[in-house]
Amino acid sequence: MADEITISVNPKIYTLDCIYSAAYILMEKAYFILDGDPEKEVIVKIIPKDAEQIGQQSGLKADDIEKLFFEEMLNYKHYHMNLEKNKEITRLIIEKALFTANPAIIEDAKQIEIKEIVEEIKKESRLEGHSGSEEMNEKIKQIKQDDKA
Amino acid sequence: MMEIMVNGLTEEEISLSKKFYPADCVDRAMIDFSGVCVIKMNESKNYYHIRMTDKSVAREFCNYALSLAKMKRVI
Repeated sequence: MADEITISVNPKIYTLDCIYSAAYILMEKAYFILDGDPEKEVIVKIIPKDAEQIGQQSGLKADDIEKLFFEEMLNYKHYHMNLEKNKEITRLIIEKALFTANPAIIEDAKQIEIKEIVEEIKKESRLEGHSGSEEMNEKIKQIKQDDKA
Repeated sequence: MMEIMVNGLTEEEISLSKKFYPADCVDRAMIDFSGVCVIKMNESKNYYHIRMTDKSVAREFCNYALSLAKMKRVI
């Protein structure tokens, strides 16, 4: 049976998602067992598969798999960082694509927004204790005119 | 992972941490592997202790449970 290795990973540097993804990628080359504390120290036990199991003449050593594992973790860390950085842009692009496909969504969204603003103004006027509804009506009219324009 | 002798036969016991392997993933893996080899499961405070008759199947079980846990996190 091939050798095995136990490594320690700091979850503050490599998140659990990175660890899971790296292990998942290398699953055809080795067996992985996770242990430890997900918040302080993750212990990864790596047991390389035999050459016969992976259908090759010579299997990888535990050290080689360890290097590959760290490489994959770094790769996923980079991917997740970029994903987080571009989250807002991605959201905007998807929103725009959806709105282009069905413009009625924009009208619905506008109507909902107007309703929300009107409700907010009504609430505010109640809290401030305005008795006159003329001021409020003027504000609502103004919002509706702005929307038409 | 450790070998245990039961009635003259060796059994492989694997311990999976509950912090990394959610209960539903282990259950799913148990159901899927139930036809492959005999499984007995014990549960302690922090670990699932799973006994299997074959060492390499036990290790494959670990990988399978890990892949289910990974998929659960992603989705």
